[in-house]
Amino acid sequence: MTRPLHMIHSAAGLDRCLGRANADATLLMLEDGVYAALTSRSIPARAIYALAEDLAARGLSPGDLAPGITALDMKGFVALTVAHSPLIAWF
Amino acid sequence: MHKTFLFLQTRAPLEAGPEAFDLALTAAAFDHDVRLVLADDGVHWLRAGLPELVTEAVEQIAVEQESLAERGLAAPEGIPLLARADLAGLLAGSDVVVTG
Repeated sequence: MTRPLHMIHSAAGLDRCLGRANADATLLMLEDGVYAALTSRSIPARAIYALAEDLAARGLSPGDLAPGITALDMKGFVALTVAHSPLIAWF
Repeated sequence: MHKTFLFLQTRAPLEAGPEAFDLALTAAAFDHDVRLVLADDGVHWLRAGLPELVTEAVEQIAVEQESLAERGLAAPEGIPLLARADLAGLLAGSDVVVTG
């Protein structure tokens, strides 16, 4: 069984996701969700990514990300969607 | 192919449109396994009542008990409660998850 990919579309979306994802979950912050990737917050997850294009669109860079969060390009995003199931969007 | 759909309604009536329920009804019409979970402000759907079409078509409806407690609401009659900690497994075990 593959593992889910939690796509966080906003700061509120992160609140909805937390507590409802397994500790080995993979999270991707995108759209306004990238703002939630700037501050350190204890998030139990196997891996946390932030979409580089959405960072750039907001005048941010991978260097602004909190420790433990990795910038990911569009190609990497596609690879994540192929490798995970189901895809869960949190708005 | 037969799939398991989980619809997670986290928004109150008016804030949420009927789109998620439309999708649930469509999936149920095609004989997929359809579950509906009300959580966060989605629990307010219990006040006015879920659309009858939905309760008729979707056999597995549950409400997250922490969301009720956080809002000071009593557990509804006839609808199973689900612990937030159990939702992760339910999400991971579904083929398609639609959050609304």
